[in-house]
Amino acid sequence: MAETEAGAGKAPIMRPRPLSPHLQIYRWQVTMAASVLHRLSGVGLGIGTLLLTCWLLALADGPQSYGALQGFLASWFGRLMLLGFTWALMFHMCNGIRHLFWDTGRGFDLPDANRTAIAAFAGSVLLSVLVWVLAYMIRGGV
Amino acid sequence: MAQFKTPLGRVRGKGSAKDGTKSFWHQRLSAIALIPLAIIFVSFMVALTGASHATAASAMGSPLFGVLILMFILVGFYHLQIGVTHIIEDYVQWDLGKFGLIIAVNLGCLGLGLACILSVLKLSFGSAS
Repeated sequence: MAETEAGAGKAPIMRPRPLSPHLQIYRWQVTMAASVLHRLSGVGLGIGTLLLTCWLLALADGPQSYGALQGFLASWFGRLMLLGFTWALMFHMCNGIRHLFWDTGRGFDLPDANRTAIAAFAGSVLLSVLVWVLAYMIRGGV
Repeated sequence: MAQFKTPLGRVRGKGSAKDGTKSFWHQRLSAIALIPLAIIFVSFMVALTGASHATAASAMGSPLFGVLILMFILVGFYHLQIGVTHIIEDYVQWDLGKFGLIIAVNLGCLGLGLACILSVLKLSFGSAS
């Protein structure tokens, strides 16, 4: 109090308030990464529905539109989008199952939360690889 | 834990706002429904990898796959709309922007969902060229 009164007429000098932990200063942990990526993958899947909508519209429109879209999807950028969509869907599903498990009131202990987060990441990668291996087998190894 | 609610209030299971759990509950219900539906959808898309237009159109137009894809689309867009609305409510502080974005997301989900449904129906009724 004495310090603020000494500088009469000036704004009192305030110490910067402590910030709550946020992304830039928070130590990255697997549970946090899973939480952030759950939302990010959800938004990504939302953007990905544009691709699904375009595919269905092109399919309904006829062979010409469908061929054009298939050509785009076969390009490296198209494949990258599809790969991203596959992983986002698989991760959102695996981590969503984790959330549903939490909804039963179980699995909140830190070791459990860490283990299930790692399982969600591993499961999403494994399932994505499985989907793409099957897809390439059906396409005939192109 | 101390109980501050009246017995009647506890039985009704509603807070002071009297509602607000609907989107939470529907998010869970649609999530459960989407587990098998997403697996079916992905299997279907894998099977159609590199398929010709005729193959893909006749598959999508068949009643079984058509209905399954329609269910995936309906439940998926519903789930998407709930989730993205939650994210906007969490992170957008400015009211005008928040409500504008929520309306845009709702209309976007409705529009994209209807476009998907219309396409599948068109294939089902066999009017694709």
